[in-house]
Amino acid sequence: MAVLLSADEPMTAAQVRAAMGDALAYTTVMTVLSRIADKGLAVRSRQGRAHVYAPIRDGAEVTAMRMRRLLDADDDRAAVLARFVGSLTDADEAILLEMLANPDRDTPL
Amino acid sequence: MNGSTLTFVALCLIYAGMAPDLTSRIRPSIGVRLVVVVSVAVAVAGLFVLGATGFTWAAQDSQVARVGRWSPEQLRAADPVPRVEAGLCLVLFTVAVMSVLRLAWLRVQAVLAVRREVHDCRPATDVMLVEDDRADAFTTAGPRAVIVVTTGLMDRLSEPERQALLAHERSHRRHGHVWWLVAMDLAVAANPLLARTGRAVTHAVERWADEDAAEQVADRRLVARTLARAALLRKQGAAAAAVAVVLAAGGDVPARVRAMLGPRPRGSALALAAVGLLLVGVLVTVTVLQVRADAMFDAAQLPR
Repeated sequence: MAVLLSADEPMTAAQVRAAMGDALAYTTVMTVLSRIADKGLAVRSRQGRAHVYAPIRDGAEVTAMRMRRLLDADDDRAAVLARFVGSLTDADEAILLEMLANPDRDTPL
Repeated sequence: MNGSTLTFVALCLIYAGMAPDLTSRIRPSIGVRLVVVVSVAVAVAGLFVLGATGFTWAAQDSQVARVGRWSPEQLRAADPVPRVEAGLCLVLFTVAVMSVLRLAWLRVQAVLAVRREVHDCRPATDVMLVEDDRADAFTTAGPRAVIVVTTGLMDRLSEPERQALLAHERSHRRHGHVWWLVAMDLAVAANPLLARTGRAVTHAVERWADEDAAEQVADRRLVARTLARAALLRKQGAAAAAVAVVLAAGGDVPARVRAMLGPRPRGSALALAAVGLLLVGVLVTVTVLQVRADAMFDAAQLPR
């Protein structure tokens, strides 16, 4: 992924492998690249006979995107997160506003 | 067998009825641990009783009896559980086991999915700040749990409020609160009578982290204010983004704020004793059932 991000233009699997110092087998690089593409972190397109891969977002944006997915977590995922505050009903909201504006002690909250 | 079974059912009903109230009377750090452990024990015991009753009936089938080398006639004489009830027990047992397995699978999947998302982001520290306008904060399941806070929340809190928020989330992480919640979820899946207790435990977990945070920042009112402000900000953000807000997790915020405005609760020793007593009752009853069932099968054993 870092290799793709540092390149200016889309790369083929062979180019990525070369950039990584030929340390990995060609098929390994291919597999990793197609996984990255499947995860939506890179786009794959045909160039001549080979596939080329280009990153679609920079690293920070990917992080934000993934974390946003957690924010939007469905019930199943939300159940394994300990949230700071839960959702409020309209009545709860009114009570809290009242508490903030008008606490039952001398000093405001 | 019937008398003990009835005692067990009665104890379950008493526990299911009283536990939610008792939970709120015990100091949260002790209450969560105790009530989750007892709830799991009650759920497991319930499965055992259902399974054992159903099995005793199934064992009277001549085919099954041949495999187990006992006399079906003798069992039938020793254990006069009506066929309909025994059948019902087997059905309930199957349904409960299936729903526990299903939920456990879902929770494991969710924990792994969340961990994957977090891992892919390679957080440098235990707190991840996420660029997002919605105000939200949560802690993932450990080990290597991370605390995720949005800029939408962080930027709108004052420095002391941020300290309170992080102290709360660090308590979640340190005590592995997510696991207690998951254990309680599984107990509820095995025994739906515990649903109200489950909600009480969710609330108590938040109270536990609130109390820890208050101790950390040495200011109960600061925690109260942070809670109220964060909850209001989160609601505004959710309304603005028109997001369907899922799950009533996080406990009842006004009640949490109110608790933080009062003095540090002492916790009722009576409530503690009551839960302990119920646990002992359940364990004794189940042991009696187990011993009797064993004796019954031993008596019906055919000579080899």
